[in-house]
Amino acid sequence: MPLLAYASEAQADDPRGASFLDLLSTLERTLPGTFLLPISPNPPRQTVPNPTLDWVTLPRGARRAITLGLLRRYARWYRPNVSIFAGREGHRLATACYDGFGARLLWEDDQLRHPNGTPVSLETLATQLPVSVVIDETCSKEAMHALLSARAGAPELRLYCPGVVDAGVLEKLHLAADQFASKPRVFVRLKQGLMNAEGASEAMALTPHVDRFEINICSERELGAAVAGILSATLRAVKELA
Amino acid sequence: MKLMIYAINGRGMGHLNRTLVLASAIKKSDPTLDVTFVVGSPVFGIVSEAGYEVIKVPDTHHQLGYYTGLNNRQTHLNEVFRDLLEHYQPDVFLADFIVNAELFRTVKRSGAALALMLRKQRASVMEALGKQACMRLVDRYLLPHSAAELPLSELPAAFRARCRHLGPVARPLTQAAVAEVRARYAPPTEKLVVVAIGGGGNPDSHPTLELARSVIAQKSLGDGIRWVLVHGPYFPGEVISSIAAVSELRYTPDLLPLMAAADVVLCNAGYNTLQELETCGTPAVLVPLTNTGRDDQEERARDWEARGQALVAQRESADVSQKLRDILFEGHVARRPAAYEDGTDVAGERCLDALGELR
Repeated sequence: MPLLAYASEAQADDPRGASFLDLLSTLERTLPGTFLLPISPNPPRQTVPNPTLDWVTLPRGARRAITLGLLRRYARWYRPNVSIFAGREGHRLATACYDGFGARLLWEDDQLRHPNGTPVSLETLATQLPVSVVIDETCSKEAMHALLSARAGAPELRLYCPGVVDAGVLEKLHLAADQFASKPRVFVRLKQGLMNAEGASEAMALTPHVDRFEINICSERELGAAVAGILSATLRAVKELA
Repeated sequence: MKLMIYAINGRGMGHLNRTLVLASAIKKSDPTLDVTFVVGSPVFGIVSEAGYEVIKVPDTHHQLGYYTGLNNRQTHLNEVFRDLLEHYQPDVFLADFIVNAELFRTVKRSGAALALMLRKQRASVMEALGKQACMRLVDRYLLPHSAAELPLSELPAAFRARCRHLGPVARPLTQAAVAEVRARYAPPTEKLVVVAIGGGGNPDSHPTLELARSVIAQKSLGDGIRWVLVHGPYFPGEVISSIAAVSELRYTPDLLPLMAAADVVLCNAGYNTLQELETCGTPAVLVPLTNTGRDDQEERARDWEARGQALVAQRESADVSQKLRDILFEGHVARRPAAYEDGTDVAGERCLDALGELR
């Protein structure tokens, strides 16, 4: 789902290495609401929490097998839609043994292109990457409206609900659905967990809304995730029966 | 010795601060020690600034990251650690704090000894830990407490032989830093109120800032008060601009001297915040949180109040205002002398001994 961006050690140590940071800041500016996962042995000096970016680092001077192994694991973990490699070396390294990076692009000479050399515009990228919004008490309707306007061409809208889906959250969900062309996917993390009556009742309270959203129930634990899958499937079945 | 420290990121800074303090203490005892940190915290820059190699793994509290690749997260993280252990080949893997059977087995298979930092927790939580089969894989439990503060009798019997007390592991305080911070934020004729909500990542802690703002707006404490509101590095929103009498900070490395320089601290009752306040000796108004998992803030806050070190306030601005007034103007809680002696050297040596036994 995220946009993975990788810069190798050599690339980031290059005197032009700052261009990787430039790339990230361009992506953040032009693709708001995209979850960005930069991976590099060279982290930025200053690090602050960022709602749409989570930097991951690799060991410096690691053997090729270790670097490849870690990159592969992160790609399997996050299943990126698009992966951008800063420079051909990184692209060659990563794709040599793994093909799971989603659409692969290169960032070279301050330009984004396919490995075959064809330039890729950021507008094109905006049509390939889902837009994600966290719906909680800090999410303002105005900011959400502005974000969805900026990403009107996104292929998918993903709405994440970390807290209880109360009337305020439902209102924001419906506002988002009104503004977006296709049916949003809603991800609900049950506050009371899954293995109790409160959780199940919270999940079933969502059934009236299955026509407007594709609802996915989430749980962190693996057993909980299995039950969550059953609940999500049940919600879909309820919709089909209706 | 090669040591890999995995400081998990909760919603606060406790694990990271504690392991950083400990790492610098043990490096003081043994400068040849090779330390690598693995962290999920987005503020991992403070580890590299302290001079340690740091590997940043995905942040389990990242809002978008949480939902992405959610299933089998533990399996993925475990595989990442397998590669990291192969690369760094540490002699000891120290986690603060995680219980993950798959990770524990991976560590043991790599040949590293497994140590866990185990701080005081609710009795029920400690009992539950004692029943987890994977805890048998732990070679050493490091207790960041004195034996008086956490007697072995409070730990599961099966853990006791593997436990070592380090003594308190807290950031050291110096008089010069306290004087400098006091001069920075309040003239000598005015009083200084510091408001801190730990890491700032727990939404339940945010109303404490609002309570403080409400007291400030009502001017119920009168003039001559300077406020410093520290949001914490994980605070999700924007930090509003400071005004003359109110400094709004996201993060300050000087939080410990700042709390020591204050006339009163308004905070929640998190373990690390109160441990640092213990060092400072500053009277406090505590607004305990109720959704803190392994922790019991309510019990801790009441304990502090009973010992005459703090007043506990309800989540109402009138009550907070009254309790602040009681401390600032009525002397209901006496300031205790700050602890300027640095106990971390002792903790460092004990830790080195405890881990050295495992080689």
